[in-house]
Amino acid sequence: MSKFINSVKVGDVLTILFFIALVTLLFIKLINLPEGEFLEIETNNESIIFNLKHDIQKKFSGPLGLTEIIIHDKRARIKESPCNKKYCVHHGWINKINETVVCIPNEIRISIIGKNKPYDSTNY
Amino acid sequence: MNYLNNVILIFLLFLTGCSDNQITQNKDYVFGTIVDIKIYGETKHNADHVSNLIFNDFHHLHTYLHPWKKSAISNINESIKQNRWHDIDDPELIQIIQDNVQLYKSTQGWFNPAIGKLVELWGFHSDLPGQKVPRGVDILDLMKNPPKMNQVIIENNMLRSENPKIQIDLGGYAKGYALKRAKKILEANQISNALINIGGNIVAMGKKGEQFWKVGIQHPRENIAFASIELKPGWSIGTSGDYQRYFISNNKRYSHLINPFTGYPVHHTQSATIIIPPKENSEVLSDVLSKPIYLSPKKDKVKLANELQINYFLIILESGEIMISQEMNNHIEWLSDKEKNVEIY
Amino acid sequence: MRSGLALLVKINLMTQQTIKPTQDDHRIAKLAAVAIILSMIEFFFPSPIPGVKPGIANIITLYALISFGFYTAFWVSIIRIFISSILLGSFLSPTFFLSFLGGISSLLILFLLKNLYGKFFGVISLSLWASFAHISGQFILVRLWIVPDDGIYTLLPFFLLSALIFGVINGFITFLLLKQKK
Repeated sequence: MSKFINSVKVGDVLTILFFIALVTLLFIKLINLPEGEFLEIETNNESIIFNLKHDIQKKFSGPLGLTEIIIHDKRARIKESPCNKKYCVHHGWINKINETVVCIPNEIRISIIGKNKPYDSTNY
Repeated sequence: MNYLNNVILIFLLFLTGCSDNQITQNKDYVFGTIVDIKIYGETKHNADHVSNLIFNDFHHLHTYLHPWKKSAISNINESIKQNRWHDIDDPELIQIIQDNVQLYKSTQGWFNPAIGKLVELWGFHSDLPGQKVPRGVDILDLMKNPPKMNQVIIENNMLRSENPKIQIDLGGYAKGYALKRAKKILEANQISNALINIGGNIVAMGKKGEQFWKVGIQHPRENIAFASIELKPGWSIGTSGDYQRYFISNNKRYSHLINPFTGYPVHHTQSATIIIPPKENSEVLSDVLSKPIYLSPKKDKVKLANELQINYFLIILESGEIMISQEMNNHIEWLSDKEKNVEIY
Repeated sequence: MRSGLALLVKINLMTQQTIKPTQDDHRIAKLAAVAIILSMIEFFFPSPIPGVKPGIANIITLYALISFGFYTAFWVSIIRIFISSILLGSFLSPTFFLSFLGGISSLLILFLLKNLYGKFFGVISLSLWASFAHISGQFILVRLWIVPDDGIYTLLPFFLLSALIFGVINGFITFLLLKQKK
């Protein structure tokens, strides 16, 4: 074995490192392009992405209380929210990329995103 | 063998360096809205630290400049109401007031932060907007001697006003001002690539690595971003619209943006978005100058934009019709595939 | 008549000379035989992901290259590819073309890099470059001909990872063989 280590040349190390880097890079690229559609939920202190393929019901807390979000049949909506007007609840289901529902009083926002988020922030 | 070690070391350094390509995001609730700071190319620790500095600064600013709760501004307003001279010992506040007077003049009165009483009358001086259209007589009463920002005079650190009906409301100025401050804090901490979003008003610092920062523009009636645009380094974007703070009464929508010449909210425009490329005070301008473009009647909007040297504007009228400047049209990316009634100016 | 006879004898002798196997030919034949056997063995080993194989026959190619030169390695490889595909009944099938293209690609790289062996490159390098070239060549063929869809790129990292792993393993085994030879 020691004879093997001694036989390792500069080119060998460079080659190994080069190919390791190449493979790593490609895996990173792969991880960053998920196919399919997702729901992004943004609250005051977190930003979470859920896959629309899996039915889920989750509650998120905001200043007014808990807002319940439901994913079902590849669509999403705000099911319940402690706000006054409940505009967010009445908005109903969303499923197309960029569609958004916001509960401003309880500071929570859900939006549908595609493969890559098309933009970094929203102007309104 | 030493040579080999160096090669491996350099490679490892290369790998760790790669983690600098991350974007750290921090959010807080201030100015009655969400503030979102995205920083590129910094360690999370660094980014979090500087973001906190900014949030702390904002909380202070929010209290300091609050339009209706007890603040430095409300103190001034109280003096104005009582026809008293007011002693301002804070040079920053003097600068802010003078800036606002200047902006009133340069927008020919369309940006008028002196109409706080009107805004209050329409029920928007509260965290939850009111629902009632005020009585015509009350509005007329205020408009008899219309409050104008150039009636606020500062001499030798003393402030006075000829019009006791003036109530300074910096709601249309504060976000832009806060953006400017945030940018300064980031620069002071050697951060040059960030995207700051204060309640929809955004300034882009630097880039996101090799790419520009990109923002989506919210549609006033539908809950989607109908367009997106890349912000070149230093560009600021601001929108005035009737879809964030408003109430509906008798099927009519009344927004918090009041026409200072009539005393009433306007009904002809849904939103006005402008972009100001980097220059002195550009962040403030991106907030302030969207008001004149929003409030002025259709026939005057383009002329006003030209006079204010606004090259990038996007206006959605009540009918849904879109008015867009040539420059804005060159850079914008439409996201929704609906038929559009677009006019390029 | 005499010149005609002389010509015939001459041709006969020449023909005998040309078909007489050289020492090179013996070597090539032996090595190719071993490579073919290795190919067979590999064929009967199930692989977890289609298209991902250790490519142990390449050990022979590499061994031949280092011990006897490119000419030998070339023929060992080509003969192995053709004969094993005939024996396995996959001659002129997509599998054959994949094997052929992979083989050609790695031979090409080896030809370009062979002179660097010694001071700069060791066995491992040649093995890695050969296996990466092999997989890449196959991948290009798959993308152009078999699955003309960009989705195939999502598989690339996995294939290259296996090229990396088996490149190292095969290189190490080749090293052992070379050591033994001495």
